[in-house]
Amino acid sequence: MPVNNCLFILSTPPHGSAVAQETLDVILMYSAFGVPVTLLFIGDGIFQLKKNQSTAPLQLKNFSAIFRAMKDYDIDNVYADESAMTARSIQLADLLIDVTPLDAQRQSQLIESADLVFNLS
Amino acid sequence: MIVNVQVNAGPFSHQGANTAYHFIRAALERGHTVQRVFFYADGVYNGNDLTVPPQDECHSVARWSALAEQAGIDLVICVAAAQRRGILDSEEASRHGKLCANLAPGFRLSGLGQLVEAAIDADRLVVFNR
Repeated sequence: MPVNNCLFILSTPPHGSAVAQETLDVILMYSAFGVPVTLLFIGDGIFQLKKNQSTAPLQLKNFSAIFRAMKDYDIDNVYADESAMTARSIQLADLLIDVTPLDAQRQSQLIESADLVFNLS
Repeated sequence: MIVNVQVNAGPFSHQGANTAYHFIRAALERGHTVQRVFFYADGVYNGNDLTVPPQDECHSVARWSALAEQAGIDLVICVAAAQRRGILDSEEASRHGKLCANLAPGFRLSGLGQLVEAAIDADRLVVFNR
């Protein structure tokens, strides 16, 4: 199956479960194989992109730097559910990387156009 | 059709791994090919040879091992996810100075590249989360 577009749906906050961290590893591996990758942040998943996270007091690994490195992996197609951002009072300026907000209809188009949809949660 | 499978759920707490097993059996019976099952996240616990369920419950780990032997399916466990969760083959165990290895028969440890390969080589990749 030629995988020309792999869509990752990220719906969990960065910590509290291993889902976000282990999904990132999968994203980078698909990208390393030359598979074009698209990211869609929904629900609490948008918190993964918040700037100024401090994980040291909880002795958790702060992996948010990986998002900044995504440009080096040619991962530019990053989208977020605009209603999830609004519900959490998150502005684009609060986020680590450039994100394009999408309404529900555009999100369903994104899912429909993907060869492979991955959601670890 | 070549159908490869990814399992992200552990053997006991969630239904996903059990459903994946029955899905694979059904696919094989219909004449489809299953080359590889890739175990990721808590799915790596499906390869824990120290799993000892009560006699009147399904021994899901032994069931995977039997499936690998009967159907020649490649059961691959993500090595990074496995190390975090204490699933080691004898090579990894000795490398990390551990006294025992606990990777069940029929499974092997490898990297996430094997997952991407399984997706590319298949007509469908079916993922079981929980």
